[in-house]
Amino acid sequence: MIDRIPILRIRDLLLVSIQADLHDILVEQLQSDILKELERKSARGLVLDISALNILDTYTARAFVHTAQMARLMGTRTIVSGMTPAIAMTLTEMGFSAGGFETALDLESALTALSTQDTDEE
Amino acid sequence: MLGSRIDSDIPPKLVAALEANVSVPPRLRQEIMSLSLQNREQIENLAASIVRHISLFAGTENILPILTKLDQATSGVLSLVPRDDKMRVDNEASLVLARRAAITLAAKLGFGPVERTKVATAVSELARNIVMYAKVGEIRLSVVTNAKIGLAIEARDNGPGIPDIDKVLSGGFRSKTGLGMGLRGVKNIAQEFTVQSAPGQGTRVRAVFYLNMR
Repeated sequence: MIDRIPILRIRDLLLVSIQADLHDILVEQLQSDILKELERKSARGLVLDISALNILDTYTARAFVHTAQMARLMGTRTIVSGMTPAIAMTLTEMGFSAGGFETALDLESALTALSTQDTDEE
Repeated sequence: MLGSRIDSDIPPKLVAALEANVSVPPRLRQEIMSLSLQNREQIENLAASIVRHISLFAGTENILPILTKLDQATSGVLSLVPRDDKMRVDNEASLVLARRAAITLAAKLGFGPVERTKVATAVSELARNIVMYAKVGEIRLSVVTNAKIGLAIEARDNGPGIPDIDKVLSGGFRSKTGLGMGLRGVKNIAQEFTVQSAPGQGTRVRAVFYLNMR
């Protein structure tokens, strides 16, 4: 089992592609790694791509909400991309409100959303 | 060499055994004949197709008897008959294993992607509650065959128990850690849900998911 998820930096964006079967320690590690990276050098956006996941339980989903909140406090906009229909249906039926983080259909849409923000502000 | 020779024997045996019980349409026959025994995912998908086919053309009550015959004919190489599974849950790794076992069993029973995700998510929530609150417990996965075919998840522990279970389930109680959210969530997605818990007496949860045959 891997013990860390890599965080890629592309200009002022952070990209995290989650391929591993997530467990709590991994999620906590990722959260603290992201915050450390933001402290080291600010980022305009953070994309969490979960297209490879087939399970996202409420604990992990809430961890994403918290990560997005913390990142926002550090000036970073977070987008969760690539949620499968199965996960979307399951979380919704479970009563989990996805209002806590922004989502995009896929990685490309997430990057587009974050770069549109660039042009808007320039 | 030897391995591949044994492998190539399996698909025709499987077709013959299946044909002895139900008619086998060309597409299913082709799916069986192109089976690679190294590809676990393919085996799971085929198992699901076979379960669906049997339930549609021979009836739900014949699924397990026919699968048993198929396993006999193929020397159990594919292990098509879903087996009950009991797992000790006491840490992160066991949580991940329990989730995977649930997905595998759900796939074997013919559950589609959404149903598989629901079952695995339910296992994840229940296993996490065990790890967080009771430290140790067990998850049991079993096959339900009454009028419909289903997958039952039972979670048991001898932990501290939940003081006001009704309040937790109605949403009147919110823990910082999310115990309530997880349990309510499982109750919402399962077709049957029962929980027994009291302080000092541990917790038992049973959630059943039925195969939706359309």
